[in-house]
Amino acid sequence: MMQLQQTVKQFGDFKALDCVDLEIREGTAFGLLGSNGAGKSTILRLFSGIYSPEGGKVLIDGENVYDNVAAKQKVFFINDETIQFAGFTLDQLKKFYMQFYPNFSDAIFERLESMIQLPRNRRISTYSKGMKRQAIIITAIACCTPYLLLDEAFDGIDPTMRIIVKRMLVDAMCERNLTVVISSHNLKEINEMCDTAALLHKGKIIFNRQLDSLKGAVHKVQAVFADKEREFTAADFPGLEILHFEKTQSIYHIIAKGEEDTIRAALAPQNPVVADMVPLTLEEIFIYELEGLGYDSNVFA
Amino acid sequence: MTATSLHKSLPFRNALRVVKQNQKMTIVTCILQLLGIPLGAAALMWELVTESHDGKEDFIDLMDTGHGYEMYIVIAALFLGVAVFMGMFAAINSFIETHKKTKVDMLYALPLTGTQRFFSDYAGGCIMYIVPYMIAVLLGWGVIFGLSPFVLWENDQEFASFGEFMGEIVKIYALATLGLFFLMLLYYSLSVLVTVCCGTLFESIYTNILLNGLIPGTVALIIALVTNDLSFEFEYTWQIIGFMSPIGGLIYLMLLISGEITDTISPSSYQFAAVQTTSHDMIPSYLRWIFAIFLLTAVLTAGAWLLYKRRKAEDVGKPFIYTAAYYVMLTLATVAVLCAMRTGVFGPVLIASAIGYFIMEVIRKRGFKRFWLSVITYVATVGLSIGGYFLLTATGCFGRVNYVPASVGVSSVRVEFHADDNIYRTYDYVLEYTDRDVISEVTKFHRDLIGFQKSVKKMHSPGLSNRRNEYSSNYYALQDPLSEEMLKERYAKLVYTTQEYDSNYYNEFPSYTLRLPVANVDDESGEKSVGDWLDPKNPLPDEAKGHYIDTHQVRLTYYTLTGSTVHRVYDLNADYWRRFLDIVQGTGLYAEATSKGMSSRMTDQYTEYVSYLKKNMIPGNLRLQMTATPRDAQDTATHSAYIKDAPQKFEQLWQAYRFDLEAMTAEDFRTSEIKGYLSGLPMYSKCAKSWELLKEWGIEPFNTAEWIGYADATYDSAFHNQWMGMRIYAPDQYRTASVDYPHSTLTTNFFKYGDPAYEDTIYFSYDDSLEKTYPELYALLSAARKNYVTAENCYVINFNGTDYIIPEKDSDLAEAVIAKGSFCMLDSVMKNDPFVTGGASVDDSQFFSDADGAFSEQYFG
Repeated sequence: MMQLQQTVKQFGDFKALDCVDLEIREGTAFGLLGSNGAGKSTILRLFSGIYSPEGGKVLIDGENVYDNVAAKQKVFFINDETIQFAGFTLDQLKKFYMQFYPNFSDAIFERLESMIQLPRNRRISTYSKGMKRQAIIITAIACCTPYLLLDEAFDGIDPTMRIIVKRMLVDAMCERNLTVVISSHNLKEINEMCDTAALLHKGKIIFNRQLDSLKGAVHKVQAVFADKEREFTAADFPGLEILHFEKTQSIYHIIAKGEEDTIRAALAPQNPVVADMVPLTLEEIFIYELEGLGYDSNVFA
Repeated sequence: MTATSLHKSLPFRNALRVVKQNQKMTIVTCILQLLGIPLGAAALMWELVTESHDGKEDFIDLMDTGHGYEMYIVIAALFLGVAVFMGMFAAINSFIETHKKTKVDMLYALPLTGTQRFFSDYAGGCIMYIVPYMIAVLLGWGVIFGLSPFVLWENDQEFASFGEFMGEIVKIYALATLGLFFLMLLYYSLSVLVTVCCGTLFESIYTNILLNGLIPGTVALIIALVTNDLSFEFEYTWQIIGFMSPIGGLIYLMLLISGEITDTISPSSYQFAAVQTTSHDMIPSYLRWIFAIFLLTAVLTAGAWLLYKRRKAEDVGKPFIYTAAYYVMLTLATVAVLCAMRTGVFGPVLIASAIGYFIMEVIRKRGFKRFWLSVITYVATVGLSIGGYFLLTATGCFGRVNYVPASVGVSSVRVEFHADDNIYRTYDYVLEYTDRDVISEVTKFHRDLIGFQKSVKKMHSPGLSNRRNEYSSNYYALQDPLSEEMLKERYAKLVYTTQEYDSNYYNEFPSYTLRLPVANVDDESGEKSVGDWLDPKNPLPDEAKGHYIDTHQVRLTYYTLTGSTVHRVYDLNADYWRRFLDIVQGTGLYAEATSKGMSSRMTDQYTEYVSYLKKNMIPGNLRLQMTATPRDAQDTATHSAYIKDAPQKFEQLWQAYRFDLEAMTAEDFRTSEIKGYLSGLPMYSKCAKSWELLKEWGIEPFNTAEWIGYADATYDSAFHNQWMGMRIYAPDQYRTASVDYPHSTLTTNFFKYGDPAYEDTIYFSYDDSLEKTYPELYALLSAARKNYVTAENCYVINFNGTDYIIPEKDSDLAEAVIAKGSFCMLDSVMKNDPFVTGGASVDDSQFFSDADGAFSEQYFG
């Protein structure tokens, strides 16, 4: 299990993580969502032992990860760049990581490589962006670490290869209970890959829950009320945690947190004529959650 | 492989990773190293193979062959230098995660602890830096031993001392390569430390370069402050810096090694090395140095490791991770610059340091962000530096400047001096005494000197501000009135042998120029006044500064029983120089060194002569050419004598000379007449044995007619006429820019020191009767002070080409001479009499008349 316990990470005056608590269980595909600079990559670097926290703990299977060889050997981190591997050929990259990860599986590497067919003796610097990412992902999977951290890992990979790579990850998760933590702005990808996700904003976790329950926890309501002369506001629905409230002609568009029944019950006192519940996509949840925190896409409106 | 064994091997794997990722640099270093040491060794050995060694006495001689192989050695040294310099890049490249952002995630995420990563990076850099060097050294050994049979085969008839020479080469090679090995480690470790403190490549490089220069530079300046030794050539400075920095260490190593070479070839190296009477065994010094360098390397490495562990991954990209390192560097730079205050150019130095400081700040901050903070830190840094500087100077570096060890605690004392008049010219003496009496005398002399310094400092301190910056902080302490002794030496005895006189000898007669006090004339009232325009802060004309030092530098080095070394340098005035010589000249070591000097010089002349004969195919009628310059005032020509069978006679002569010197007392040295010079060394009248020997060979003092090889003696001697010259410059209160001399064509030039209006030349007969004949002049000369500091405005006389100050209290003596001179025109100028000066075009010379002691005056034109 990977844990952040009251973790604080600061870069000078800037607090990247502010007393964050987080648990990621084994075998989970965990998505990290958040605005730019929210602290997603910082969390990944803390888990991979690159950063040391200024406060709190960063634990892997109960051990502090920073400066701990045993803990670090359980984690493989792929950051959002590929330039660091430019000087290697694919074989050299394999040999390089083989030295440091005791469970490195040559068989897995060969199997995965045969699926994507990368030129093995060419320098990685001559690869396309997508090929570079494929190379490092198959190397990472072959390292057979229990935890794999991916920061914008699918960036640049074409749709076909993306499917292949995702299958590789899913296979690894099925075969050896691999825990994958994915940080991405591509919410569709998180939606497809992850079963759990956390949303970060300004160094704090806004929510952290399973995607299925997350989707059921926020609803978009299109409602028409009997009293058409009256202008309703969010304050007229005191039992409801409203993220977004908008009226178009006589139709009210409300994004609210809570179960469907709870929302309906909260609307009932205002006598709705129509109250249609529309499930939200992850992207809509992301946008409306952050809008609720003042991170508003309508800033130019 | 178990997980545990893998854990243990991870650092090793990372070190290999460093080497693999820097393959290109490793290869370049290898090539440079191979072009360095092995090439140099090959050139050296080939030199031995191809060169005839006839007449070669030593290692240096062997190198001096004219075959052109020296060029290969120079090239090899250049390659080796570049290869050694690569250490900085080895450190920077092996710790790439400290300055390259894209590598941080990859390398910090590897399953290594910070300590493992540091030491494996360190080891990786070492491998790529040191291993090529070790390979080159091994190859060098191969070259030396591989070619040595050829050397032996080539020279078996002529080069009997092959084994000895090979032993010397092997020893020097071993010491040099081992020393360099440790120096490279030190340099590499310092570079690692700097790299760890920096977050960008740019900062890493320039900080490395600056620190490597600043550490020895600043320390050298501080040492100069303590010891008053501004000659950075002197080994003592490097003995300290050599233990503190790679560059200093390199020079120290070279000094050690070259000292070893010098020991083997003395005495013919007299042109380069001092006439040494003792030499310390260099091996203990070498081992001490190696140990110190190793210790320093370990300290730097440990420091780098601790800082690396504290350093955070996200720090990469910041110019300086530990700003303390940056400020240490800036402080070192500022201290170094401020120490240059000794040069007397404080203002420009301060401006230069400010410019340097702010450039560094702009670079560090990548702009002018919070620039006010930089200004504050600069003011603070300069304040601290100046404060530190003045604290050091005011307290005499906390008493260290004036520290004299107790004689009982001194195992030996080394005195070094170079006399710059004819008697000792070209000879540097390095005499090391273990004799308790001499040690005691030297320490007593040293204490007296310091006491004298303090008293003079106290006496003259108010007027020293300008002068102090000109030379050293101790300069003022040495400026005291000349004694009667000095006057006697200058004008009664040494006057015939001073360098100044020689330089003027064939050129012109010394001149006497009088600059008069002039009056200021008020345009409206016509009133005259004197001294209104006085600038009392500037007692001497600027041009005259620097003319008042005629001191003799002496270096004292005590080796104490505890193993420490105390070294000080002083510029002695005439009295203390005399006292110092009294201690030294009566010792056997002095005689031995002097006679050795003679021997080496004669040997050298002989060798040159042999070489000349050989080249010109002249049969070997070998003779020694001796040059002697008799002191006879009637004839200053050079005489040469040739001695048959010279080599056999060298030994006899210098042993006799040594015997003579040893027999002479300090008083003898002072009073004995110098009858001539033998190979530049004075032949005193008291050198009875030497003269006896020379007489046997047909050489006698003054008997020039019998000398063979008589040189051109057609010059008339200036001495023959016995004319001496003198100028007097008026003190500054008579200097004014607005005085108007009616009808005088001399007005415009009158106030310029360098181009005086009156070029009045006075000739006077100089002999022992001066005191009786010209009492005013004698009194003036007696009052003249070559070394004198005062805040008062004084007359300055130029006698025989050298400036002397007339103390203010003796101004009347100068005025008496002027008055006695009856310079009616000048006198009129003083009175501002237009009838005399108006329109006068004069080229006037005044003569002291021999007849009645009165001055006469002649006008020309």
